[in-house]
Amino acid sequence: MDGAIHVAGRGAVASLGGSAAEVLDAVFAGAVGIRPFERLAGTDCLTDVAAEVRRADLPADPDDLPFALAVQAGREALADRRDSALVLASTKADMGGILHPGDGLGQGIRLARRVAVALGLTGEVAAVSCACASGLAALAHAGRMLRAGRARRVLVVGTDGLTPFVLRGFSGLLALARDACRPFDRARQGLSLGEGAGAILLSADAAESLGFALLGWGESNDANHVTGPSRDGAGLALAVERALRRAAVAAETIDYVHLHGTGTPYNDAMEDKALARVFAAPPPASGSKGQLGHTLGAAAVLESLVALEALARGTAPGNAGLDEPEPGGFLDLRRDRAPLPRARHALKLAAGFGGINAAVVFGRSS
Amino acid sequence: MAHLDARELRVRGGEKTSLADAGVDPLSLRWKAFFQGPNRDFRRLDATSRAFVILAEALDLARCLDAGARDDTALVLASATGCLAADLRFQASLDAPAGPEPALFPYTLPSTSLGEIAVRHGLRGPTLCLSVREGDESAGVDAALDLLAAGDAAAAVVLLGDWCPPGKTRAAALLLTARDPDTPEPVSVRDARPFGLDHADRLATPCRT
Repeated sequence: MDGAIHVAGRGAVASLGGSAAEVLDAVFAGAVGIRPFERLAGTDCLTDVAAEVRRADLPADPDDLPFALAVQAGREALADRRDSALVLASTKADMGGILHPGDGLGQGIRLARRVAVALGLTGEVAAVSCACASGLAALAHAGRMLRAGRARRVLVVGTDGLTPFVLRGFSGLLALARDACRPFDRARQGLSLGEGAGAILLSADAAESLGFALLGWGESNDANHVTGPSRDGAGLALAVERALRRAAVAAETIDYVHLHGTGTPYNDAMEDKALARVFAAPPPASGSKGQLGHTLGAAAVLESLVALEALARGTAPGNAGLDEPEPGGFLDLRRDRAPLPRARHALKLAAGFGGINAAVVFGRSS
Repeated sequence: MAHLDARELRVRGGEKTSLADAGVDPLSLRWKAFFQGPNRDFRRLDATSRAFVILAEALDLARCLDAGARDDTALVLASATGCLAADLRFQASLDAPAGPEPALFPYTLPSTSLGEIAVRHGLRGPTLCLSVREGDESAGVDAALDLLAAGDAAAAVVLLGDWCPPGKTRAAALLLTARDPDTPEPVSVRDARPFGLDHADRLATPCRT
């Protein structure tokens, strides 16, 4: 063991495919998974588009979607390994009992334990619910478990399924774009919701590494407003600084930033300000919510896979929906994918209700 | 440390407040029943979330943590029911004649109470919300100790428990601080019973209440 935290497995299922390779190929090809409602047709809300998992990729029981998606993504990441802890990230988990008869009651730990049993996992099980930053909070929690020696492997799975509860909730807040979202575009109107699961297997064993490592994480709270982001970006910048410090890397060595990029006016503006606080010059950056939608508890894990793939390919994916960036912004965003001048380190950001901010740094396993 | 159950709010080294004597309805938990000063708005927080906000207030963080320390103080919550009451209320509002209650939606996340506490007390460290099995609140203490041991925070406010109908109510708050911010000493509390504080002296808590 070299003390590093290696990325040893990956898995995904989302609107753009039923495996990590399929989803990532589609993201880098610029495909958009935000489509007219299928399963959710007839839901009374501001939009009729979302990034639903395709019918062909759906499990038999769509009411059990978070469970089925988590198992599918987790199984792909594990590749028959069983000696692993599990940290599950989800905002609503299993809603049975709230939406319809059942006893799920939104309890993340119940869902996590079911996933662990289905995957045959033998280690500790934890469930994290930190709003839209759940995935990065789960990665940080897993990193601490590995650093403390409480596990040799930790499978981090982020999962959430779309329901009328969530759609109408965001719609009521006027946070949804009527059409597919356009993060960082000057005409952006809000977010598009999505569903799916992402899985990353972290290991203390360098022999299992896929070539990349979780170098550091940083978390903060805005302590400013319960639902709205801090307008000056100071909280997210603090999370980024903490992540860089833990990773022992300088900001100028970050070669790619994967943005939280929801497409809401305030979030995108805040994120731009946050990065202006940390970086002397705008780094190559893009976000995936214009393609995958905002997958809530799955988002940061799925999007971390995109960040890792950007390093692997030496390419930054484009920013779907970006026609004209906000004038006066710090970031220099491109609609189309572009080669990265260097691919040493990637930074992934996330923020959520409750003023929660998180950032992680990925790099190459030494 | 502060402990709230269906009968009273107990603060270690401070006063006890009987819920019955204060005329507190356990399902509503009015602010003024516990604290002097201006009435604080709970907004749409459900009873469990309100209990956590009350407990955080009872810790008297202003006395224990200066402004610099609060920048580096984490919030950790471990609960089985989380914000279930808010979930059920929002779900019911979807079918109501007036439609969904939009202002309630953000409160259907169990971590929102932590955001409320962060705002009230200026806590800018990590925020971690765990779903745990009933009775497994020590997982929250373990997570907080991991945070301190990793150097991710210099202190942690830990909120544990659930607030269900009277008879199944219990919640507690702990303030944990690292013995030495530069070299935090990890302490194992896997067998700790936080509500009884049988192993409280094993925790690195120079400022516990």
